[in-house]
Amino acid sequence: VSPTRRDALKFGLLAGAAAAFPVERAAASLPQWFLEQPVQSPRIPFFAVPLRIPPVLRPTSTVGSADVYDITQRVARVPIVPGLPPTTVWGFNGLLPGPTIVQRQGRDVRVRQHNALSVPLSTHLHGGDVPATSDGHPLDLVQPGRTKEYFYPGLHPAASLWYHDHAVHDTGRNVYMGLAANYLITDAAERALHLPGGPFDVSSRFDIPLTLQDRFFLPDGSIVYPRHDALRPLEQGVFGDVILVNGTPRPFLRVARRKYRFRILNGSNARVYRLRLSTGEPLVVIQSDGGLMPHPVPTGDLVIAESERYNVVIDFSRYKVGTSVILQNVMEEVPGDPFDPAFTRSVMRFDVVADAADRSVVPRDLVPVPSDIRPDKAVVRRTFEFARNGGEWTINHKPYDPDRIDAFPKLGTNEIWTFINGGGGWWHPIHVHLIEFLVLSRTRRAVQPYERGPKDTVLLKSKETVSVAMQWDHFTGLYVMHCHNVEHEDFDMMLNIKVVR
Amino acid sequence: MAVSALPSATRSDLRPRPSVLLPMTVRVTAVCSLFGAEAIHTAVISEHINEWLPIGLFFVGLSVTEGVLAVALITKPSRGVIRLVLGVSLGTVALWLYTRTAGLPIGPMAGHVEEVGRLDLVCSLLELLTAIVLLPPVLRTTSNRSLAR
Repeated sequence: VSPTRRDALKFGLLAGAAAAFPVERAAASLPQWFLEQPVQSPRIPFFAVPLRIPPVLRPTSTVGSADVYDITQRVARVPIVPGLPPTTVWGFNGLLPGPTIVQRQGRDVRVRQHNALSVPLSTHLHGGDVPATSDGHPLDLVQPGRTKEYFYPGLHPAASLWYHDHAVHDTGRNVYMGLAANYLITDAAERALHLPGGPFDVSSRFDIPLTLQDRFFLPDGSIVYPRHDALRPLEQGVFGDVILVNGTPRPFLRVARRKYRFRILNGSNARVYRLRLSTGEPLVVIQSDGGLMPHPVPTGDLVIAESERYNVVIDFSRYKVGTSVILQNVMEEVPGDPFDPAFTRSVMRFDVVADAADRSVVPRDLVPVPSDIRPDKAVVRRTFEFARNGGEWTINHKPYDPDRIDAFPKLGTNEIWTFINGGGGWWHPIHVHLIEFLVLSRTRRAVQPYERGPKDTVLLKSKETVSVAMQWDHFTGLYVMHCHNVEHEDFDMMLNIKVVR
Repeated sequence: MAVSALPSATRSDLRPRPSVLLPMTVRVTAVCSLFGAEAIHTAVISEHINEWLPIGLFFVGLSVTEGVLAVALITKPSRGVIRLVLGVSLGTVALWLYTRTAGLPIGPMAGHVEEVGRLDLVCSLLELLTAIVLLPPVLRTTSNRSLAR
């Protein structure tokens, strides 16, 4: 019997219903598939551009014991990728990274930040021992066209800090667009060590900041902070496939056969690096986030998370003239990184080109860890769990609430804080404002010898628990603690701390 | 239009086809198994699209085919439909066995032997069940036709 029109209609309806679900699944998956296709910045050759060193900013004036600096946060077009048009950045004085400020312990610094951008900004001195009003709290915003003077007293010992934007919910975008720079502090104890670079000479050819940032470039040479939407949420962090060192893509540096001090800052939004020399020779760590190490720590691999700083000495006198040494990033996989690790494996190349005299030393003893941090005198223990809950980044199951204060440490007291990674496979570099801490313990993997110096950021890998000890010193007021994967921070993995008397 | 005016092949298409009498239990089992296999294949479409687009599209096609064949088994279980169901089910089981023993020869995971998972095992068992319940009626019909000649 031939099928009737009614039979055909019935079959068509039922078959359509049976096919609808798979087709719907495919339709829902394909846009994501298109987004997840490996994309790549335009071809940028490795080691074709000489390393740029950010200029050291000169004070505008000196008032009493304070040096006064003026900085304008503004849009600029800077040449980054050879052969492509200049890249639009938001920079301190229009630079990527911004100008380096050098402070001498005992001398105060006042920085007048003028916001010439079209968005509100807040400048945080990362690692700074500064009053709450100058800390750059995420809600202490400077509106477009306004200026704020930040006061940085000369309390801090020698260290490599950095200043960057910290505007609530927009730190990721603002830092990605360029608002980050080095802030170096020197002191008498450091000068007495005769480390490479010479006494009080952080701008010398032998003492060089290396600010690592990863960016993704469009074919016209521009960088665009991705839009947050349901298909491509940014919570996991924003990555790039080109590593910039001091704003230079995959650069080279000509060096002499002598020791160099490199001040490495991971200024990336979400990328964690594992640095190694291609020759297998050690990187000698002499300084961590908050100051000099008690002793130099030679290490084959150096893991440096977002916002961590390590100063390392590389002795190029081991190599013959003509040798090239590549600083590699051998981190296999960072959670959320969409790029092939091959793109980010080579950071920069050192070309040994000349002989040189070298009177610098790396003494066996550097500077003892701060004696005021006394875990044995801890009066309060606090525990913070960092996790993803209900689609939000949370600390102790709560997203950031500007009206809530989660800790009231007392001025002058010691505390022990325990950070727990609540799982999900994510990594969280935890940063506490105002203070330095000592890392006491870590589960699942050992505290690395180079993490034994004063720190203000510690990496919490998947399922790890880390305990740190700190003393709440110098200032009362409102500060914050947060994850320094800046997209985690922007999406509320942050809390308020109020230091009280 | 008169039937005699059509080419012979078309004329033969219009003749009633020999149908297979499927017991209700066989029909229900086969339809449910096919829909079950379709649901499982549908559930892994996203995963396979992200893995390799061609394999994802293959799963879309397979799911749609199984769904449409299940509907055809309900509305018009002709011998052709049953043979198609048998071919698709046994072919998919064979392909599954191949990927679990030798690995697909193409794609980003070429030569990689996949592990047997709970979901794919259930799916293959459903397809095998479909074939097992449909095979006897088809064989019976074929043998009857042979005897009639």
